[in-house]
Amino acid sequence: MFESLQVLVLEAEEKKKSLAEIVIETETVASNLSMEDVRLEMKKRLQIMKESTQQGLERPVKSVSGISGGSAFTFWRWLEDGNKPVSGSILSRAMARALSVNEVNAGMGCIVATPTAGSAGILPATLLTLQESHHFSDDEIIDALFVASGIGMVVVNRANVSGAMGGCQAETGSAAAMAAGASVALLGGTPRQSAHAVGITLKNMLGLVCDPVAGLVEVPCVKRNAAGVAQCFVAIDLALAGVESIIPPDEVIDAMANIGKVMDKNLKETGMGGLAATPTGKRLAAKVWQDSK
Amino acid sequence: MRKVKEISAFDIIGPIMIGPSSSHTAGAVFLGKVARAVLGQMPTKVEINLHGSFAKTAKGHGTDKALIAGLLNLSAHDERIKSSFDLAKEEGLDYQFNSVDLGDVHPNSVQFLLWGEDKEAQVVGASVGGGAIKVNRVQGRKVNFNGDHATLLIFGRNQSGTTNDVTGAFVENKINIAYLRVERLRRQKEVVMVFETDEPIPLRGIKAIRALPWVEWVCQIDKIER
Repeated sequence: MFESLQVLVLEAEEKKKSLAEIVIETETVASNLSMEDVRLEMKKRLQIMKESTQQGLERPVKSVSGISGGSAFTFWRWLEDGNKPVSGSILSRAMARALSVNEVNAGMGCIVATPTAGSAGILPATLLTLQESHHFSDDEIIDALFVASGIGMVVVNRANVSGAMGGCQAETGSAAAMAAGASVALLGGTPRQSAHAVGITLKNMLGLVCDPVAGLVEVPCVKRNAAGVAQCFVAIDLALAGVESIIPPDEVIDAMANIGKVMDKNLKETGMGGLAATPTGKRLAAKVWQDSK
Repeated sequence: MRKVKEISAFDIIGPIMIGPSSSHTAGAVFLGKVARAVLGQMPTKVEINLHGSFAKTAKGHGTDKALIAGLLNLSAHDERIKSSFDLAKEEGLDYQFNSVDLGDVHPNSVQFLLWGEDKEAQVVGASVGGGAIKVNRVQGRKVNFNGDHATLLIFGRNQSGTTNDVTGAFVENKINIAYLRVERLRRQKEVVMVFETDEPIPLRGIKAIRALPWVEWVCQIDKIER
């Protein structure tokens, strides 16, 4: 659909429309559905996002393998006990929700892949926390989700969103970039500022490898979703202030693709390098494989 | 100019799925559903042979539960996937998992050997990423389809005019063909046809195809609902 952020931004500027309007129009044409139906389809996804950002806060959710779980609950309880997080109240609550989604995912609960299951926490945690702090309506959040999907389409067209092809930068990097661009639009930034939020986020996450222990979507994936939210927050504020990425956002996406190509295959979702190859990583993997027999 | 991929907003924000992995969980459900469709009835016994990464991390990813859930026709976002083993017991499905080497195939491959009340089926397929699947073998014959369309499989004796015979049934029922593959196997004695269509062909169309003298086996598989 969209080959570059530049094209997407230019179209919005020329037609004097929001990014959300451009993406929704394109979707209605491609799918032959009405605007109401397309929005309704996104609303279904928003509902699942609301549940998955909440479940892990209410009770400790354990993963199926037993390796991980419960960190969203622990962190949320610490926040609710009145502790003052140095990251501030909005970011810390978003981090908790990102942890929740990925723990629900590892516990075989229901999530929306945004763009993948392993990176599913970043976008809903960011948008739903902004909804809470800034009192946005569901319709405004749905618009933001379409902006995120438009950004994701550009990433898929120029690079990829697969850990096996591009490492973690392609999964949590893309998710954080989508969340940043969508949030800037939600918070009243221009289409150009959204694009620069994408560029800034992805720049700061280039090179991140995919090194999951035992090949499972748990360690380090769950906490990388909390970190992805933080990266996204850095870019949102910079972009809204008018700070721009000196490397144009589309070129940053291309750099991500190129880094993915030269990244060693041990560091692309094979569970063979990085954290997976540490003594503890190997011990946990041996236990999982033993249990599988 | 670079080629622009045709993707939907809901490919990026979606699918709605049970975790933890689109390839190891959602894709596994879809493979199970295809196997069930090939059998054409409720399976009473299944042997599931896991290959590669599927064999190694089946339990941690819940791939085993997802495959059984697919055989029970659950959707990829059904919360009962987690308890599909209990559900299988309730519905009288006897299952067994083995680790095998299926040779030079995709690392996320699985072979199903299925038995129903009066039918048997064999299906080999792979989960190739993001919830997408490829079905490689059905009843021992090489095929190639992905479930993105309604799929009609026809196996029979090779003779002239077989393709014409079948497309006639499609025209009569006003069904658009998206893709069509025809292969001659075993020294040209056998024909394997894979039709991928926009809409499923109605039952009377299938009956007409089944009645063709050269046709030995027909099966329709619904489009995968993502």
